[in-house]
Amino acid sequence: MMMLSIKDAVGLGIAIAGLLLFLTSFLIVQSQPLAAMGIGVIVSGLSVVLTPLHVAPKRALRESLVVFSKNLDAILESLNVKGKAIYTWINSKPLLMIPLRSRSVSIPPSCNLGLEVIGGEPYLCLEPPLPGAEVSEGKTDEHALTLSEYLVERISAAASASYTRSGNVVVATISYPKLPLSPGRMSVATGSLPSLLAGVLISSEIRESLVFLEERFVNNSLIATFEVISK
Amino acid sequence: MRALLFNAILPLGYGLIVMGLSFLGESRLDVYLSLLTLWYFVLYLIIRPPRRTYDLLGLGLLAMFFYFVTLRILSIIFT
Repeated sequence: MMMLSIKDAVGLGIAIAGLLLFLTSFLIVQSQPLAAMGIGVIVSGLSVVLTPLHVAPKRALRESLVVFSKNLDAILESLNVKGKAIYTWINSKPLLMIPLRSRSVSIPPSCNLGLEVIGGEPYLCLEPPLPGAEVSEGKTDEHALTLSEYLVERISAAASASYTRSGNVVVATISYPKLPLSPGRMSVATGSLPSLLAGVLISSEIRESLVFLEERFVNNSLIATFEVISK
Repeated sequence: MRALLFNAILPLGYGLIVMGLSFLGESRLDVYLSLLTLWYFVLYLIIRPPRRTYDLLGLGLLAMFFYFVTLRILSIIFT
């Protein structure tokens, strides 16, 4: 069931008040100016309802993600990255850590954004982009959107998105992804853009750190596999 | 910002229109509704507020406007 945002509730409330004003003034009081005012209030309320909560269009959000993935792909290629991405979170903020040399399964306690050597291992630490997730309806945590809420509802980047967890393995299934699948270095290190977003969102949702394992494309669905690791 | 401006000025204008016409002694509902529709479209064209989907509200107002115009034309023809 679609959740009613505060803005929509206020708009509907105004429209209903306008309807009551119209009915009362038209049928009981029989005052044309008041009836017109009632219709004016209805229109004003519905105008609030029709106003989008998110101003940025979904297509623009998807495009910004594509630009991010192209840049990341180029960086990973130039750094000759061999490691697998770690999706983690610090203070409710998602963090993407990519070990540059080898697959690392230990997570450093902190990582400054950019290139950093932690325990002799060079990492590329990024704050993954979630454009449009800053304002989530009725939620206080700015990164509290689930995989489906973000990929399907917020940016319309897939027909459906879900994940299952079995022990330490998390499998995300993204049907009919609209975002391009990266053929470059990104597909090895972080997975394609939908997989990257899945890793970020699932990690934030389950409050666990994930390591990207692999991704497959089966029957118009992208299946990304992650391993849950402890901090 | 544009949406906020539109949603703030629209009811303000409606209030002024209704008060003005009421002050002039106008008692025909279709006159009120025609001016409300006109104000909606003038403001819409000036501010261009973002919309979640097609402007169904504008379509509804336009349909109502044409309904009253048709009634008025018919009353002129047949009287």
